[in-house]
Amino acid sequence: MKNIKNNDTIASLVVFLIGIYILIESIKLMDVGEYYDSPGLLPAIISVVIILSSSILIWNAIRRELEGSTVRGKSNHFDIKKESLLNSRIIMIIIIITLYVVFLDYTNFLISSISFLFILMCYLKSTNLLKITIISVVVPVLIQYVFKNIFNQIIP
Amino acid sequence: MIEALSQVLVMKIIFIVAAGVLGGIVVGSIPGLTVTMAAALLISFTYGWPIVEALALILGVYAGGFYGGSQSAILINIPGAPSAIATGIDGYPLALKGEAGEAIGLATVESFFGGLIGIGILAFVAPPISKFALDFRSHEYFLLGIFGLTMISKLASKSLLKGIIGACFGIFVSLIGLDVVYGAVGRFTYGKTLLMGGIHFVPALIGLFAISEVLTQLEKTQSFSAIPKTIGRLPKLSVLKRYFYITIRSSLIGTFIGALPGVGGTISALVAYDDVQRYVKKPSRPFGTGAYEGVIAPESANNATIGGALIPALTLGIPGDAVTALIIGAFFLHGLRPGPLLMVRSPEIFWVIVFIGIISNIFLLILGILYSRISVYVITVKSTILMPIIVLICAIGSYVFESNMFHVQAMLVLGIIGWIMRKFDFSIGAMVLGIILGPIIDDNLRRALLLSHGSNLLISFLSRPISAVIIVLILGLILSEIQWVKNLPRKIKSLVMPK
Repeated sequence: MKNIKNNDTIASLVVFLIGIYILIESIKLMDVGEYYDSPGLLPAIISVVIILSSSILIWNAIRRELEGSTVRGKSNHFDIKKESLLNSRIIMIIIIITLYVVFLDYTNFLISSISFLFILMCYLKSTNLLKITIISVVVPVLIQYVFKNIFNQIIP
Repeated sequence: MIEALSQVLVMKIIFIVAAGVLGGIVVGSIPGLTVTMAAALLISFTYGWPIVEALALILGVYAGGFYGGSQSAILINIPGAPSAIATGIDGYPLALKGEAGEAIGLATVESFFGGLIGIGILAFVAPPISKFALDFRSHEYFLLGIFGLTMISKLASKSLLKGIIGACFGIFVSLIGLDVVYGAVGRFTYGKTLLMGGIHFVPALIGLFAISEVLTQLEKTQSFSAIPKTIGRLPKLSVLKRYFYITIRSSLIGTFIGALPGVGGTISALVAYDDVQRYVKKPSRPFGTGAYEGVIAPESANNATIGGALIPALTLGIPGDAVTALIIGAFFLHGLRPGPLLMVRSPEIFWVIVFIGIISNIFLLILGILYSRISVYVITVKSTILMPIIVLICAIGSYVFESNMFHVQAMLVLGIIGWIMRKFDFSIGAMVLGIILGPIIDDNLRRALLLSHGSNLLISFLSRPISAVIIVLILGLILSEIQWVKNLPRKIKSLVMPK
């Protein structure tokens, strides 16, 4: 349970740091024009809101930890799902999708999409190899046909 | 109105609406596929279409998707769409009792009535609101944007603070790119040409809604127990008559809640379910064990939400829920600006939406019953097959509208960010609304400040009655989340009436 709290505290801390970063960048933009029509005005306002909100979240997390209250059954900011944030399965899925997006830039849509579907479905053990092969080929061909001929769109 | 009717009553448009409704029902019924995801994808595909055709497809999917979730909620107790969560409470026990056909039939007819009532109210209420909103200026638009974001932050997230942070992130994303006032100044672009054009909201929405959902779905494994074949049966007229008052009452609740900026069908269905539980003293069966009232109330409410959600979207340009946020996006893509001026400049578009809404509901009634014959096969498709295909469609959807690979990359990055945000309960809905409303808020804040030359800003806001009312509403929303304020009535009561 402690991990859950820590995860949330860390997330709030990351948000806090993002807020600080936006504030610094916004201040640089405040030099342009008067303060009231400066491009940095709204970013500065939202950064302050982010910093304040995340500070309260961090403060609440620390207070609860000090009070030693249990998270279970309470409606508060700490309802983080109990599974760990990253597991090897989801990391692998993200890597495969990222590689697909990268390859899409360099190769033809059909080749990259067929490979992507085949690899991802094999990794996920979606169904048997024959069905995976059929789906991997049929779906991209069908999508290419629909987009090119029915929607008249240019595809990657 | 006649012009709008002539634009809608064309075979092509009617066919597109029917296809949209069917597509929406299928998408809505498959757990993991959401109507928001479908609408986000459709906006990019229909970018080059005429506005009436694009609206016909998107609104058809919207109506079908809200209803479709009920089929899986009833048959497998997994709501295909969040708006069907309440339907499963009594719908699934009905299916277990061998009354799945009756439950689906009832859900279909009630969705039809709810949808029609919602659209009817939209037709009557939107024109006067638009007239009233013609007096709005930058101050009011800025505050309305903030009000919408506060509302969605409060309702779409477990914590108001996390909702607000999500909304701020959304505004931040929308501000990336060249500044509209000082054209040569790039905000958060770091000199990169690709970022100068900003992050377009279409890939951002596809990433946040669809890719984050794909990652969430693929994290878990799902299995379905054997489901009997089901055929939806239309309820008897006597049954409809008996529950007519509940239909009207729940539809009004759905429309009203839908009209609140940032609140969607899920909340309205849950509120209607809660209301019917309090209101009906002697249900057909105890609630939670297969009461007809427990299916009627949420189903009529969630489809009535559509009409309600379109009211602030069309009259003020403030989305009622995530899908209407996307519809606003579609308007912008087609060179139209939703808001009070829409009624003045393009009134036929408003009536086109009303007529498409009516036709959608008619198709929903027909196709909903027909679809129930095959829904069992569709809703049990494995997510490990479906989700990789969705990634493919998302990639194409992000690419096609500007033929730019940068949008696909932006979609992926925002998808991963959205998935992390979901993990920590930061609101995706608030972020999306932030992306849509960000430019409106930025533009109107700077205009309002320019008008007051940067001084007496607070006075200039408070001296305008509508602005003052909106400020009070925003403060009320924020204060109502503070524990000390929540306890205040009890403290006052104990002081006034000591034990």
